Amino acid sequence: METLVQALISGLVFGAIYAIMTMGLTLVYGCLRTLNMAQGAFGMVGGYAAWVITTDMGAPPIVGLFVGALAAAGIGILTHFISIKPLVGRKDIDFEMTAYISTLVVAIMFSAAIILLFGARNKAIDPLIEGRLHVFGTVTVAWQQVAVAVVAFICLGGLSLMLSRSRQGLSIMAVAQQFDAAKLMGVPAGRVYWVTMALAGLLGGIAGVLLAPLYFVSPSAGDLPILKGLTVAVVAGLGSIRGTIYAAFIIGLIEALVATYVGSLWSLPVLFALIVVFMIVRPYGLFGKPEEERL
Amino acid sequence: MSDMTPAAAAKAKLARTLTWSKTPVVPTIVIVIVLAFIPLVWRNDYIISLLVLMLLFSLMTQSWNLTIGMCGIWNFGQLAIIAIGGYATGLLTINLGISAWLALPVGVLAGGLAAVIMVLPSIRLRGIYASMLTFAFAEVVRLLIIADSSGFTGGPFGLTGVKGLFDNLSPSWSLRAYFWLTLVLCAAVMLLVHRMMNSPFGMGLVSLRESVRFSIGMGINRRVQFIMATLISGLIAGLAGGLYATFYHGITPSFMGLGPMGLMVIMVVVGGLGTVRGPIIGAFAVTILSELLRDTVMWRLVVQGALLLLVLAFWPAGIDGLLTRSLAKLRGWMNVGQGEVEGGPHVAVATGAAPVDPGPSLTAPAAQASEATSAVVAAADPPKPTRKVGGFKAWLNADQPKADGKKPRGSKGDKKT
Repeated sequence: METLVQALISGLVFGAIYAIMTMGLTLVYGCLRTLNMAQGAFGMVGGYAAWVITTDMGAPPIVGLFVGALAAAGIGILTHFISIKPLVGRKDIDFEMTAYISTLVVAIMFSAAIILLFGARNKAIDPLIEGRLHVFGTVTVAWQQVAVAVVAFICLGGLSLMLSRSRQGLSIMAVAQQFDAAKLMGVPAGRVYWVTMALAGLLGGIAGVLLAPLYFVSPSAGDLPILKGLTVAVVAGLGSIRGTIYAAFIIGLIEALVATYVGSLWSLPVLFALIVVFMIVRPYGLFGKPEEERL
Repeated sequence: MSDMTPAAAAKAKLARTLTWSKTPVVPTIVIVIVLAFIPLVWRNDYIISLLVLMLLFSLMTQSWNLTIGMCGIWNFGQLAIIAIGGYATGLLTINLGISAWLALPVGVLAGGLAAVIMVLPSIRLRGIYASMLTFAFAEVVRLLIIADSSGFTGGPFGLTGVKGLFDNLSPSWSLRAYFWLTLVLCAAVMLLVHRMMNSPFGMGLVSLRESVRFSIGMGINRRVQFIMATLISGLIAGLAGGLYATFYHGITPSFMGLGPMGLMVIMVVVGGLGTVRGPIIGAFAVTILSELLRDTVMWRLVVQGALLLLVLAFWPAGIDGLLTRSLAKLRGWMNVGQGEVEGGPHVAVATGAAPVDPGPSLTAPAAQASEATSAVVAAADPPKPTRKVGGFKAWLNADQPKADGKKPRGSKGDKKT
């Protein structure tokens, strides 16, 4: 019973992180039709920025969170201008494939640049809050995990408010749903593109800083999150915001349960096998539309 | 042409009109023989090992290009297939102690089998979903090998002590033997791929890439085509992996990481995605570039990545496309004086440009066709302009554009919204 509760709690925490991580992928795919393989690198860069601020300069962890998120947002905008913008609207290329390749290469370039700047060694980073919360019996939760869940839910709530209320968010949704109509209504598509990428960078950066104390900050810290993000996005159906949240928690829980009862070595292979079966049953994901419809 | 039977001539003409080209067997053999003298003339072991590496990379990129470039299967797990070939070969020589010559074919088969297993679930999926499935497959293979602590695969430190193919030769002769072997295999694979892509089977693959609906409508069996192509690609990948493992006497899981993957992507795209020569050109160009940047190892990936972004932005067809285009342009200039209109349909096809207005260029193919294909079939067969239909080169019969400028049916691909 207690192991089950422990597993469920850690599943929920990881589900929350996957949700904000994948939300960046989902927004960018819905709006720009680009599977942004650099999303993991945004988190990695955010982690390094937070490490520089907190460990090198001695700022409190919460400042590290903000700085990391902002740095990742900047990297998101940079990624847009060097790897996606030159490809938009070209007739001689397959945009989705080309943008996939260019963002993948940008992610690798960021890793290489980080190794140049900081070296290849892992960096440890302090958690937002120290200590553990005793729930009942032997069930304990690190305060960091609680903080992760809280920050993640705040982000998701803020995002949904932004997308449904603010002018900027509505224009993102408009471009995602009907590009031509949005443009005719006077939505500045060029600006929406880079704002979306900045938003994705922000979300990726927050996820990266939150994950940093649980793992380490390293040049390859973005690899595993992007893999998980891709898995979540596949199960959700690309470009579906609702699906992303459901799929993130489902995958977080499956992973935690498999890790607890079968062994953490098997969590990824089991997950992968389940997803292969799932893709055979529903080739376009939980909430994806069969053909080219969006969001 | 006089000793050709009418049937053979008609077949040759059909092949020409479908823009198939003959497999350049003789030129390739000549080039291979010329290149084979390099290690005898240039007695620098370092250069030769570098050449072997380039040839191995060419095999790898060729195998990957077959699925991602030729068929449009978004396969981002090819490095895992190559590594499976390498691991199978290596484990057999280490654990069973058999000769590398016997283990290599098993590695090749393992690569083919793994490729089919990996691609099978993703055939039905749309581009990006397939890419994620294959990418995840590769990551899982990598993580499983890294997590293996039983010592069977050597875990994160990789496999060591794999037997070489030419262990009984002296090191420098073994190096040269590897060079000749990989050179011949590379040329053979190139000819095979060329032959395959210039056959009904290959045309089916290309048409599947360009428009799935069109191809299925034409009666092309998507599943069989993709499985066959994947199998061939996996066999080549297994061969490359097995050669790699025996050449370096080992293989590590970091071979499947994002870095080598990025390198492969850069090679294929810089060389030219979806062409036969492109992957080889790319493998050589990028390896030479990395050698030039040898003193600044860490800057290598950044520079190569920047190169890829530039190529994508300015020459999306890669170096091969650039060569083809300049050649076509040159040919166009040279033919201007002989009544050939510059920018005629042939140039348009070669450059991949938008279909040109057939009005002024109608005379060009007429002149060309009358001299080239007059012999047998051309009598009742007036020349028609080549036009792109959904990106698919087609020789249209009655479907001339109407005077009112209406687009021909199917000329807009169904890939884009």
